[in-house]
Amino acid sequence: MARRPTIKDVAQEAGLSPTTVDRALNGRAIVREETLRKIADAAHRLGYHGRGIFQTRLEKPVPELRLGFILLKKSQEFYKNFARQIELEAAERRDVRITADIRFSSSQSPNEFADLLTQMGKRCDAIACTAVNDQRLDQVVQTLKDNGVTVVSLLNDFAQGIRKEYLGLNNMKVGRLAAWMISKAVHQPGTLAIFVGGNRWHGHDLREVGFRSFVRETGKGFTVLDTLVNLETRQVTYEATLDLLHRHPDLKGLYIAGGGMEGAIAALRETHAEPRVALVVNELTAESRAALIDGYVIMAISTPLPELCRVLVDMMVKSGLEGDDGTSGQHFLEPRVVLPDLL
Amino acid sequence: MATKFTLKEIAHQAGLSLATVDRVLHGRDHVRAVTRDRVRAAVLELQQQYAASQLSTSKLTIDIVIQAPARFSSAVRAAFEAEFPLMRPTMFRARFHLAKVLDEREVVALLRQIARRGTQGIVLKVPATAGIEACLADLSAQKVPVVTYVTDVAPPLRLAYVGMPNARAGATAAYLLSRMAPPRAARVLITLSSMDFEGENALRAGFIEYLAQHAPNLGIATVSGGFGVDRATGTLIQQALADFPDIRCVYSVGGGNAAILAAFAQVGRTIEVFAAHDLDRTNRGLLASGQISFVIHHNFRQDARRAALHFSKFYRLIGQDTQIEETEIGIACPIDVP
Repeated sequence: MARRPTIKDVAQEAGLSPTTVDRALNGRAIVREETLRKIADAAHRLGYHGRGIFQTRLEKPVPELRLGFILLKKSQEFYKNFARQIELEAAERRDVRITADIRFSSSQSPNEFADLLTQMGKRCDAIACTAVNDQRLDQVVQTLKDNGVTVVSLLNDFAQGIRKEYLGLNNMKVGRLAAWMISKAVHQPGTLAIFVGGNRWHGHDLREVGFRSFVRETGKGFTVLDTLVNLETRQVTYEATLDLLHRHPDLKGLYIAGGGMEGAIAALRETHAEPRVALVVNELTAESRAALIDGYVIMAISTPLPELCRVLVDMMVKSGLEGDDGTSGQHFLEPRVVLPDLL
Repeated sequence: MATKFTLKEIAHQAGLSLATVDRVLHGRDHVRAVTRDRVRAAVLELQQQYAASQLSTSKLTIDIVIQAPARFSSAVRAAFEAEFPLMRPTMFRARFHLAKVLDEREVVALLRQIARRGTQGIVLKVPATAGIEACLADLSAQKVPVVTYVTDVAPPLRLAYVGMPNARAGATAAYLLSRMAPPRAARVLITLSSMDFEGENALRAGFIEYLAQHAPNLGIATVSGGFGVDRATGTLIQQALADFPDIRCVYSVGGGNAAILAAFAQVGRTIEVFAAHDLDRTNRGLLASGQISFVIHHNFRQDARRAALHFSKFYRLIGQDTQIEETEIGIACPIDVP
């Protein structure tokens, strides 16, 4: 009877050691795809009885997904970090091959968001987007949903009732947190002010409500001025803060609920030789870090980006592979309190 | 399709009859393509589980020695019990040795007993006294890896330290407390559970250093020896309040916070800012009711994971270049109780 080929024969045929073939055969350790292919070919040529196993290992299909991400201002450090973190997270997944398509909206205009969403909807399996609250976007998200593309609202909860999930901070709580810190750090009654990015950001509105209601609850005699809109730009915030300090020399506290904090930091630095206004901002960047150290910012509230991106990619992979299960919800992450690096 | 599994096993995994599986495995006709896929998938599943069961061969038994009040020990225990089963492919098992109060002699006896019985690693939270450090030197000579938790010993005596960077955490507490305290002269009462814990001393040192540099209006007074136990702590606080009429803030490192509040209330004194450590049940309640101003905390489960990673690295079960991150300093305030 002819001798059946053994591992040794396969190893010799493939030019590898029997140990490597054994590893590949019995799954004892990870073997590179290239090596596995060599072994499978050799096993096939010899008619080795275990060749089917190598073949199955090679054929194991990895699903592919194209995930779309729409973020805001590319020039801002926060969104740059955000994009980098998404890419890292997407590259780390071994169970799916992810192509991350990341775009940035240059304005806050609903039309631009609508165009981006529609464009990406043609090619992506799922989309995550930071956008304003607007009826036009509700329609776009509805169309995407009808075509089987799920949309995750990121940081700001837009297209409520239509989108799949909201992922971000509990913005009401963020506003309360800012008010807590300011009300604790300011010891005499006085004037407080708050900036929001625009009128179409539901998340900023929630932060404002949280801020105002907490200040009211403290009953410490603070007055919160009418809310200012800075369109999330440095220059507008800078000019508006200078004007604010001019009109209200007794300003005690300031909260920047959206972007543009760099302008407020610059204006306060320019006006006061020593920090006099308790300023709370969102997100840690080189500028907010520097201002924390010299005391012009007393606290930064930051979004845990690595955790957020992990949850986000997970969510999108799940809905991309399994389709819409008809449920929707919101996923809140704990805001991080950032204080100066002290030692 | 040759496999090492029996027909019966494959049929069971695939949910098909023996006859069908037999037809597929021997490449005979009268089988739909979908059914072939189903059998192939079943074999793959069996193979993967077989590989996993072969991989989890390394088992590590770790002894966890903690001297702390029950509220702390039970939280640590829960964290290790939750994280160890997740540490695949290495299997971690824990033996717990938890006590409220241990003297140096008892700690040394316990460590020697653990070493004699055989252990693959020790997680340790005990005071860094001379006798204990001498015992750790012996353990290190016997190649028993020791990970100190929350409070450290001299670095050559242990494999790694897990827990917050204490000096920085103390400075963080000082920053918030000095921001919140009214800008006039006052004294901060610092409470330690004992003078022997290196971790508590480092927190205190970081706190004092920050105040000295940035808030000279705030003086300090320290009490220690309550071991975080309510009754002992209460007596110590009463004495301190009698000695210093200008105490208006508290930095509680050692715990026993309900007793601290009660002692102030008893003599009709108010606390302007109360900083505490650890999000245990008492502190969550006191935070929510506004009696504690803020709490410095860290995630016990992440710490348990870090400890396991240090041991895995020591035994070369994971890459030597695996980065194990430092414990993050968390801050909880009344509206943000996680």
